Amino acid sequence: MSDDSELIERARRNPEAFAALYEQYLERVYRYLYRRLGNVHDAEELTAQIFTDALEGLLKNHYKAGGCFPAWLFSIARRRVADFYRKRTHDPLEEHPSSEPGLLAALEKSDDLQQLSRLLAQLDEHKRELLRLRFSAGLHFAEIALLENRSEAAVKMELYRTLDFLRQQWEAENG
Amino acid sequence: MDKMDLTMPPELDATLTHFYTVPKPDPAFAARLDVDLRRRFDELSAPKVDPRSPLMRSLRARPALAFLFVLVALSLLVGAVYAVGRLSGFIPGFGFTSGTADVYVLDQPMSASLDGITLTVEKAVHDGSRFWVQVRRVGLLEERGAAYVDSSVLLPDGEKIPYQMAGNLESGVPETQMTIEYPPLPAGTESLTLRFTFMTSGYELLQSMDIPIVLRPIRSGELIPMPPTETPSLQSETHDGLTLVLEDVAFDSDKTILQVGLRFDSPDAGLAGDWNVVLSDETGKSYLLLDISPDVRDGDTKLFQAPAFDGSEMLTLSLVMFPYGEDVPVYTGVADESAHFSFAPGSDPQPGQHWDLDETLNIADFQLHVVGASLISSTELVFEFEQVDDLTGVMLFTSNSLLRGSGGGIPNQNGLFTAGMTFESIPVQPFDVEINRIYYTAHGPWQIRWQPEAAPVQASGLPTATPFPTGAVYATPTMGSPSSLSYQVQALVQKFEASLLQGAGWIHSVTVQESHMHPGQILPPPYLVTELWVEVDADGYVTRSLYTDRDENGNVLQQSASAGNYSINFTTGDAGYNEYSRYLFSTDLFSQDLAQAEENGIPIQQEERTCDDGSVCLFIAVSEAVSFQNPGESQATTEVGRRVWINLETGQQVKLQAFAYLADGSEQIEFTREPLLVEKLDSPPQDVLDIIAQVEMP
Repeated sequence: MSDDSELIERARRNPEAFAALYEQYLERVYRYLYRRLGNVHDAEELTAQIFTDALEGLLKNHYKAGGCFPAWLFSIARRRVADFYRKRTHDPLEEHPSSEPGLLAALEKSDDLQQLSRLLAQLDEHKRELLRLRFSAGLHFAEIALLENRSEAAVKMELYRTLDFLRQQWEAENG
Repeated sequence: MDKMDLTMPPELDATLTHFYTVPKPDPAFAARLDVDLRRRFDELSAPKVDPRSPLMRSLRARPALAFLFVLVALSLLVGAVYAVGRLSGFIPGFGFTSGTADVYVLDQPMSASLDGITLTVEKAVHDGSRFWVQVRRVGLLEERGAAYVDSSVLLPDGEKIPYQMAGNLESGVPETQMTIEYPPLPAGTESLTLRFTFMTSGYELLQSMDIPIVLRPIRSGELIPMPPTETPSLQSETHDGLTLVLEDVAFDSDKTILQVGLRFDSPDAGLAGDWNVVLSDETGKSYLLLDISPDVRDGDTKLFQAPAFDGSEMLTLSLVMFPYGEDVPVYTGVADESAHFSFAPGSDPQPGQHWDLDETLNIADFQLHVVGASLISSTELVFEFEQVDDLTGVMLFTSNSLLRGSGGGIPNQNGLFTAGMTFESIPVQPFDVEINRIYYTAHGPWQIRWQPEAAPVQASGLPTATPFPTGAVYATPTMGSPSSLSYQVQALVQKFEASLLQGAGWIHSVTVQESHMHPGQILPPPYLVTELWVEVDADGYVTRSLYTDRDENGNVLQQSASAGNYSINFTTGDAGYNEYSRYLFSTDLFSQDLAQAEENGIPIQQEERTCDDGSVCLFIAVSEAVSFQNPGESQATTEVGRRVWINLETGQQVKLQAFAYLADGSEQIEFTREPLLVEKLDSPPQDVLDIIAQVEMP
């Protein structure tokens, strides 16, 4: 688990400390959003909103001292993304609304990336979200567990299975 | 890339790393946001400073001092936030207080013992309106001949304050705790003595025990202790081990805060999915509930902001879990050591091999019947279970060291459900399969009926859930260099929508969608009719709306309404601000897919075709090769895509289809969506307005 507690407490009072916090988490938040939203415009728009929310949350003491800051920050991010999709889609009556950049959004041009995007498309949204939280957001298992309201062991196990699935499929396709 | 003990092929490892970590924010964007956040920081602190004060003016002239001033202002701000919370009686993420003054809490627990009885003051809170303590008693009072306990506060000046309310400290158990409430203490009281007096059944004094305690102001960021509930909360009937509880309510002149919780008979139980509540009155009117739960949440407790009530309403709070209705999925951990069975794969298990099994286990109130197992790959074993009664799934485990993962139940269409286990390699020795979680259906309804208090006339300052956003216009992302086809499609969209968006009014549309149903699929249903009423302003922006999804028999599956920046989904209970922005009405179903296809070099087919009604249409299809197999289906999918038919004369997108090709070359239509009606009216039917009017603003 991260231990930014001193910096976070200072960030409630000191704009420089908040700026340091922003610098520390900007890339992780942006990467996560980019992978969820699939384009720079929306990723930037929501990144700005999330850090503004985090700033206000810190100053208004919505964040509990001693809490898990990364989990709190990414819970804001997930709520913002949910709002974004709710607003954009008007709750389509779908069982598993996809939040990846879409059926047809092959994400990059290289063969390997295209192969990976095909494999990721076979995963359900929850597994893709775990991958994003772990690798784009850089969250520890315990932090993901807090976000997901699950045990750390369960998160670790599911992520392991997901990676193993990708490995098996990759090897099957590449001999 | 984290390997989690997996050895990943180097190319996959590098690709995953690239995929998930390479996107980086543009430095110019990062710098702009940094500046914006600093400005926002200043804005948030600015209201605490009188800009007209001479001090501020002198600070402007002396920038070297300004930073120090900001620090002081912010340290005051932290206190100010708490002051707001205390005044309100509610602090998001903290809970309820009822006071109007400073909050003092117990500095440290204090104990005293006498003749085998130990009393410990574990919590104490004074919030200006009341003083309450939580006391733990160890030792049997009855052995000392005591039948009653009296309690009072002794202040340093000798004043004695008797208690107002208390739980039962005299029960015949060796250890218990209770909460005692006293009238408010004089402001600033920091030290006092709690006196407990034991009496016989004839109210004769036996002995007294004094416990001095120290109170201190609550610290910044500190959780305000909550008293345990002595009186039963408002709660629903318990069904299948689940109870809906209205844990707390706070009333203000313009809003009401509800703390709602789920209670399970088993500590390892939970709902298998997100839950919500809806609030309605006896007339059927629904009330907007904003979920204002703290960000670091306990999944079984939620906080909602509701409108203020006049006290005459008879309200019903109902648990909803879309799309399950009153039959909700529940999971619970299995602690029963007998919940396991042995499985012998044999010395040379092969992918595709199937084993018939016949094992019956009794788990909780359920019978679990294991009927088979299949090796679906060299490492994945899938067990099949008979779906009996309300048992819908299991999670499996084995202590065999080759285990790498396990998955929960997937219902089949033949009355079975499955649960998989993945191994590094399939064990060749018999091993025990343990059931460590079961999933079942609990049957409601879970409803709480109660009459709220009338909202106080004077505002007490309960915090508003979210600042009302300003209506920034959302700019639709545009492609880097749209093609002539994209321009043509957008031009056709504009052509069709020109009359719809000319002037303020109401747009009424009805769309039908027919879907292929996959095994285990619940939504969307095979036939879905969506009716939409949208009010647009003169610029085409949506101001009010009503969406209704119906099945083929006209039953409402989902209904949601919005008014301004608020929306409520009457079916799922979701409600809140549409925080993002205003948005334009659009009938466009395909431009985004087309843009993505163009951006990514995906093949696009276009041609003129004759539509079903004989009109000339522009037909566009985009598709790409894939390789996956849906659970429970016999064939892999090899290609997926979408196609649209656009009437070239009207510009209307008259049909949208999602399709797939299977391994045998056959085509499968995933869904077909067609508009049945699109019209512009001056006003909708009154019943539409009545429903939208239910979007009560908090």
